[in-house]
Amino acid sequence: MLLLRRQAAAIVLLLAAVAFAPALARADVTVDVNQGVLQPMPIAIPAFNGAQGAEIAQVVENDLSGSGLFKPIDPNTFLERSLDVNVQPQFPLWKQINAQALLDGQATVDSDGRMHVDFRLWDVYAQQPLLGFQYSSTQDNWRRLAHKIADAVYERLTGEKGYFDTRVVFVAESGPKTKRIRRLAIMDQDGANPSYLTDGAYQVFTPRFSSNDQEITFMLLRDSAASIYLFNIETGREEVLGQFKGMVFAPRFSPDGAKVALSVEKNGASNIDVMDLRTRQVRQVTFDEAIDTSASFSPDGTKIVFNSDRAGGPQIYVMNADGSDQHRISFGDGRYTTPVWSPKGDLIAFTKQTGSTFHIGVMHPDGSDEKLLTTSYLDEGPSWAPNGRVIMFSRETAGQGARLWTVDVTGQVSRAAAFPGGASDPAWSPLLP
Amino acid sequence: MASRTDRYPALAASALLHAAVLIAALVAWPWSQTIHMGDVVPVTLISAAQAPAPAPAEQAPAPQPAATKAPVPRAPPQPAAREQAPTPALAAPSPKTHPQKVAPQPTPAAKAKPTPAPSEDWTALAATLTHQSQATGAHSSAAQRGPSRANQAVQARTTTGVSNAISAAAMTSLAGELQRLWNPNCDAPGGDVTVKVTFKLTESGRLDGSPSSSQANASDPALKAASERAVRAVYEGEPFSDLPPALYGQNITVNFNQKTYCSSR
Repeated sequence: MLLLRRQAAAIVLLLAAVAFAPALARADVTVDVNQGVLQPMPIAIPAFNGAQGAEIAQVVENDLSGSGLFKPIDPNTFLERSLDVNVQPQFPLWKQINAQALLDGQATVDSDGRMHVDFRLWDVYAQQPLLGFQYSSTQDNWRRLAHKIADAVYERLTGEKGYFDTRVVFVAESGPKTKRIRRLAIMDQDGANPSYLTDGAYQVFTPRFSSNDQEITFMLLRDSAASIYLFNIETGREEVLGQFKGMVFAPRFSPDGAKVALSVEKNGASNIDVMDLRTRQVRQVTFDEAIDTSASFSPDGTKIVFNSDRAGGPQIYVMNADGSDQHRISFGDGRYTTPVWSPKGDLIAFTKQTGSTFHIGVMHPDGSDEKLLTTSYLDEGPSWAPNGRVIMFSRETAGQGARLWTVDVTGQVSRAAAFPGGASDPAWSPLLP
Repeated sequence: MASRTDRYPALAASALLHAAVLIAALVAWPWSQTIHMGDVVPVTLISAAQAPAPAPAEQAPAPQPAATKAPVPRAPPQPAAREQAPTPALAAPSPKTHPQKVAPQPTPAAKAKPTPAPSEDWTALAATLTHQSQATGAHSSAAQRGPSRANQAVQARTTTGVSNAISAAAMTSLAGELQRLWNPNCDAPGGDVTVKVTFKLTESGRLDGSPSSSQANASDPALKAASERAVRAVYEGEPFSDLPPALYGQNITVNFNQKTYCSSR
């Protein structure tokens, strides 16, 4: 009896082993990958079919490569030449040239003169469409169509909003230094479509964009008197921000566009005031015998970063928007000026002077992880792209006038803006609607 | 009642007041002056329409008038090395299963499959591809990067029962191959994510089906992009030809630890 029981138990164990053996053999294998590579994503952007298709693709390519996150592949290496936006591409041919993404498109102009651009973004390895849109506008607006396509591609592949369909206001400089003409100007973020907003009869300084519409504020100097102006570049509405007891300068909008922070100089000291644009009430938020200036709101509007020389040399300070809890956040060697809070809130850009060298740098709002992105004879006046990824600034080289440049937050990608003349004080617009 | 002479001071004051108002009306204060601005720069409207989802390869690719009609399968891929042994994961139609679907394309002459290159042309093609690989540097820089600190080294483990069959060295080899191909975006918001990608390999080292990701259906675009970058590394590693046979057929889960990597930069 005992023998029978032992035989039965053995048979049960054997059956169990047979039953579970495949499962054991197919058990999960887990691998942790804690390292990677950081390199621009290879993307293929063949010329779009149709009217101005090649130009549209070129603008998209320039936008994406300028971000530092994408590396457009040389079209000479393309193995598939005749793409149709309505037909799946031959993915293996794009894999062979290491394209991870492929953008193809087609531009058509209808009988009303409207341009329609169809485009598709493909994941070459997964062989799946990632994006498919048709954008339409007037034909002379083809560059904006291209920028919007670049923004769509950027957002789909990075998960962040783009910044290509934007504009930049700046001060166009001309003439000798002793008699410099400073005109307010505007251009697309890539330097295309430049135009002047003022005629040069007055000196303009520090233009700043509202973060939620097409309104700018700037300082205008006329007969040694300074005024702060508001100007809506879309509607043409123009307004002067009242009268101040003293010189006013360095205006900047609050994130909601309802207030303007500015510096008011009186008796040799300057302090920061905040004006409510609806009620026109002005509230002084710093009370100092030093020079407090360059106020910039945090994206949530609760804090202000500013520059002050109250400790001797100019350093960066942060305070609550009502002026409370003022504390210094920069402690490195050199002079820190023009702090600007990133639209993402994670970084503060600034100008730093060390000896005879200037830098554009970034640090966290608590002052940690200071990182210098540029080094030059004179770099100054940083302005953030609306997604907080790229900074535009003015660079002056010895013996030459100022030009506009961009640098990404890694400091790896830096390039001159396309505006050919002298330019300073850039201010980046929000994304266009 | 006041006499006529009593009114003179009041009249004088009134006259002065009126004169002051008149002067104030004629002379604008400097701060209230307007300046001549240039033309406005209007923002032109751009309309956008979502294209329909691409049709499966099996659907008929009939010509459609709409500009955004769904893509249809193109002619079969060329006889490059990878196309000679297509895997089930490939969505592109094979010439044997869907030859008739290719014919009714709107522009058959232009869209017909490219003429196969003569055999002697493959040398030139290979040279072109080699040149491109060098030009893009897609892999070279990655290969030079290895674990620089102990806590960044690749880690591999198996569940109990199969560790004898699959050596840690083999899995480290797999992880090393994937870390050479994984290209996360550390600047994107929500970068502190671990993406789990699960897949199987056939005996030839090719993917058995499509890799699945723990974040594939994430609504957050940054997480979705992170997921796709991790899956892309797996696709790009195919074929995994240097792995021990014991690894083939297993459910392999790879944890792409973006937080660990990005915080260590």
